Amino acid sequence: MAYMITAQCINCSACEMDCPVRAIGRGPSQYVIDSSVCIDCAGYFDEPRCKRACPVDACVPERAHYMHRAAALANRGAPPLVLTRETPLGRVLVTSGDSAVAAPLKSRVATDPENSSTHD
Amino acid sequence: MTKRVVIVGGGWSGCSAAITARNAGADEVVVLERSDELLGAGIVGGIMRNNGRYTAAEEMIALGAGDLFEVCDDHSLHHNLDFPGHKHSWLYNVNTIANGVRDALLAHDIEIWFTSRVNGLHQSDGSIDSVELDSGAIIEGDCFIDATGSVGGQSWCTDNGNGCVMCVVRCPTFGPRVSLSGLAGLTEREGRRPDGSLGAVSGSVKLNKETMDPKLVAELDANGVIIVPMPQSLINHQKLTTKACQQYALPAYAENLVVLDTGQAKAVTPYMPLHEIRQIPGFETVRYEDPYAGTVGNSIRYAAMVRREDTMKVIDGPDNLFCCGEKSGLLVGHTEAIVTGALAGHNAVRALAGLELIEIPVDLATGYGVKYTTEGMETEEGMGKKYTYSGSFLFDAMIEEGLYTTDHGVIADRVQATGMNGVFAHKVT
Repeated sequence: MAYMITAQCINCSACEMDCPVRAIGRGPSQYVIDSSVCIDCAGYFDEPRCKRACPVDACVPERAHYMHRAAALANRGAPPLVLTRETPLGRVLVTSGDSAVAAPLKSRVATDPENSSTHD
Repeated sequence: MTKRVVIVGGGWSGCSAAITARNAGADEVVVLERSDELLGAGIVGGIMRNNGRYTAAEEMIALGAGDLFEVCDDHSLHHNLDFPGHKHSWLYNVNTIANGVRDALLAHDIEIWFTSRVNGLHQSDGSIDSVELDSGAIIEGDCFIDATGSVGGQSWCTDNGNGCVMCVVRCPTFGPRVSLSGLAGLTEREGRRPDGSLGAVSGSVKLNKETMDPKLVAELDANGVIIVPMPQSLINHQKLTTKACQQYALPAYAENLVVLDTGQAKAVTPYMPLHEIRQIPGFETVRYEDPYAGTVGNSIRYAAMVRREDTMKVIDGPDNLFCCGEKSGLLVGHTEAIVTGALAGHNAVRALAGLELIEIPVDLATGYGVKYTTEGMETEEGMGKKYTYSGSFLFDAMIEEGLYTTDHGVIADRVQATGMNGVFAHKVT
């Protein structure tokens, strides 16, 4: 078992600071608990710290069906679509992995087919 | 060296800022938009040139920031329309306007990024270096403009309204609005309603034309406006005080359903339960188009603003941060957003060039309105008001000061006299 954070999360960061095993990090739209790290504070505290710290009761025992929902929320939306004078219909900018990329403006987008797929 | 201006928010003010930044000489201008279309909340607008906005529009054209007004004029369905409390309005087609603005931006060689929600910011030595998107991409820039508005996320509508009403902002889909100033650590100011609650309820709803009486639709299409008396049982004067658009807080809007043709049918009421609106003759089978939850409420606006100079430079923030639109204060409307946007974009480039920033002089209606709003927002009472060139007390003050006119010649002379003719159209030197 592990704890998870529901969509009630208001991004206050209290849980992240209190977590004894640093299982909590900021996700795209809310804080998330890495269930492979979370140990329910076993051996540290009687009650999970995140549950205690959370001001909106968003930290709850993990529910399998909810994890699917959380994953869908985290991946919602779409990759950036970049419109330029030369490509007015836009091209989808797919970034690889988690690594942050420097601004792929103009020349970079145009000359880096590895990092983009065109829609024009 | 290549100078890049990064604008967060592709609404009216952000688009206006993009054009003036480019015209002022920025080598690269990037607009980062959270959703998949430009104008956002502006797509529910449609009304230009009503009352003092006519003066403001013509002044902006003379000042060299006329591009977006030309797009609106090109997409206009009705010209010089009068409806209660409003004269010589032009109504643009909200269904086509975003594409017109997109094309105008691309023609200026401005880069537009859709589905690009900013959720992080990197600073050093009191300056913003870059912003980070949900996708992980980092966009570096030399100057940044906060045009993120004051609408959403859902938490605002939950705390201060009736929950998410599924409006055009589409927070659940594209993620809630993120404030650039907020990311920079600035405390934002909150507008209030007369009863002390936060923000303001958006002042109009869109109705689906196909679900209205065809005779009413024909009249609406032909005349641009229909004024349908409400049954006595539905008249609710109280509701007027909650509205964002004080220019429509007139008894005529409590006693009638005023509907404007903006391509869609724009009903000037914050919201009405569907079963009530269907009691009005001709609306028996009507449906809401925006917000989709029209029965229970409308979006909450004016909840997060930042302190700024009249040059649109953010006060006590990073040294390369400007703001415009609703983020810059309680100056309500698209015309108003284009004015503050033009200032922000132009001054961002002036700042990069090490030049003195400019204000629009108070001898012009546009500049007068900006200063009037700045001063008004310094008082608690003033934070409970809304400011617009199109009505209410700012328009009254413009008339009193002799600034309101629809005479193009007079406006051209006034702008000439300020020495700022075409200033927004030219490179800064």
